[in-house]
Amino acid sequence: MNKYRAVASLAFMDRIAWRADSFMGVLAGGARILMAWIMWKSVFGARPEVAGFSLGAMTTYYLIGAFIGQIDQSAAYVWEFSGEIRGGMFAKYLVRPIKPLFSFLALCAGRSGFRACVSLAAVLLWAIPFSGVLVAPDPVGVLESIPLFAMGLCCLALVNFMVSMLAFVVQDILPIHLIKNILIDLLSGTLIPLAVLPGWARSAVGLTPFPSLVSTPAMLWLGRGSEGLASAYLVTFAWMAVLFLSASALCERTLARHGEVGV
Amino acid sequence: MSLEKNLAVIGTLVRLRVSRSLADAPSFWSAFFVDTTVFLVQAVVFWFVYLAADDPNGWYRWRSVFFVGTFTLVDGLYMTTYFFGLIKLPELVRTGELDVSLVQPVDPLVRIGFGSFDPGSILLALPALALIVVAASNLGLPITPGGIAAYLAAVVLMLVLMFDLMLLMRIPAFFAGRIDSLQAVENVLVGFSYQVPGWSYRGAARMVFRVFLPYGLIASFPAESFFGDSGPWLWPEAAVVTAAFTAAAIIAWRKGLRYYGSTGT
Repeated sequence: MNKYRAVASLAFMDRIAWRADSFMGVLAGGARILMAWIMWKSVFGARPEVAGFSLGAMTTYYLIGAFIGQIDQSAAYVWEFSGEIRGGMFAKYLVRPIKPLFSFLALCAGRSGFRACVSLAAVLLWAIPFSGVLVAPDPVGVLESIPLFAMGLCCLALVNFMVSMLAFVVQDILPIHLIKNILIDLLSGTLIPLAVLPGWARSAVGLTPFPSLVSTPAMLWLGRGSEGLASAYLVTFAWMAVLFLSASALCERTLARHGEVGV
Repeated sequence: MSLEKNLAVIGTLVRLRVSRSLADAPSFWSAFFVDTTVFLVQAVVFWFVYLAADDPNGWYRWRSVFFVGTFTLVDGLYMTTYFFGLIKLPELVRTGELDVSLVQPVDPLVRIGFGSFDPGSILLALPALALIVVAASNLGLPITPGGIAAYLAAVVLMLVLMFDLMLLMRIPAFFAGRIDSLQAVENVLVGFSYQVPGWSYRGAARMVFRVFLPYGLIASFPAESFFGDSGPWLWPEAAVVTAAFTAAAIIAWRKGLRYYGSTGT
């Protein structure tokens, strides 16, 4: 366990070296909130409510989404990890006393931890200009959402690990990675709140682990959605187990294709 | 390097990529699937936002469908031509692989921009054209050769502007190394410009998203030029903004290259 803690710690410290990127991360969070506010202000017009949201609640949803939606760093790591596979640098994971899957998860945890600190600073900064319209977060909802969000992040990292490992099988993982990112943005509620979808679509999306990445935590922070919390925990945990087993099996199978100078 | 030589290089790169795509069918179809997914997701988002608000303020149904068709067309065209090339620029700079493009006897920007020409993305133009034709007929707009020519010229102008914006967003890679977060900002801006019709902006937002961060022009300007009721300043506005961003992109690219230290920056 200590060796993976060291990987995570090194990944955290490595991020500190990229200060300009961290600063731009603050801008990215603000841009998301600002764009959402402009779009929904246009949609609301003179309406007091859209899909059960006031403009303040909608802006708060995107503020929370901008904060927690940026924490995941596993999607960005897919480029590097798959590049190492294609470039013949994957052997380092095999000669070190670590497993590629756990190393991937530990590194993502370290980077995501750093990004969480940057995002928190960003959200506090960007909350100031929007303080007049924001809805205060529900402290109980915040506490309820943290373990669920952590499990959601783990599910996403496992999906990203499997996409990276496909570099052993296909020449270019870029299309698969892009399609996966687009679908997760939709299913997690990053693009639009899932509450805007019709009931049947919400139920279908609720069977995936992705609402726990943005939609469910954001709704809990707004003091809504606690009635579906138990099923969200159950679904996300079940997916985490299935994805872990799948990732382990895929790792075993694809490693057989490894050649010394890449694939 | 002369314009003729650059065009010849682009032609050769396109032929090479088409030959490779024909030889590697999965990569051809994968680009098509990516673009179709983007199109479907954007359409779903647009539709649900529209339904939730029951005809949002100033969006106008068939004009919005025309707008969705236009952004899908622009999306398919820039994915076909330069998207997959320019998106790699930060990684080329960070790892030093840009050296390969710099030592070749072609303009490095042409080599990078068009070296990943992707013919699979052009198929996205089919649903885009279907949406445009259906929307135009429901709006009762006449489809004349002059109107089509003006619309296509507007699309080409916006492809140039999108190239400039993509390049400008990646120039900081020369100075900062990693720019993952800046690309996240770009994703937000592009997604936003594809979700909100440009004519629904009001006040300062209109100035910001049509002049200073002109993502709001990309899909709206060709649509507005086709509708023909946006006043005499529509074309001058788009031409001046595109010229300014092209000049800025060229200057920034040259500055970036001067700063580039080879073998990774």
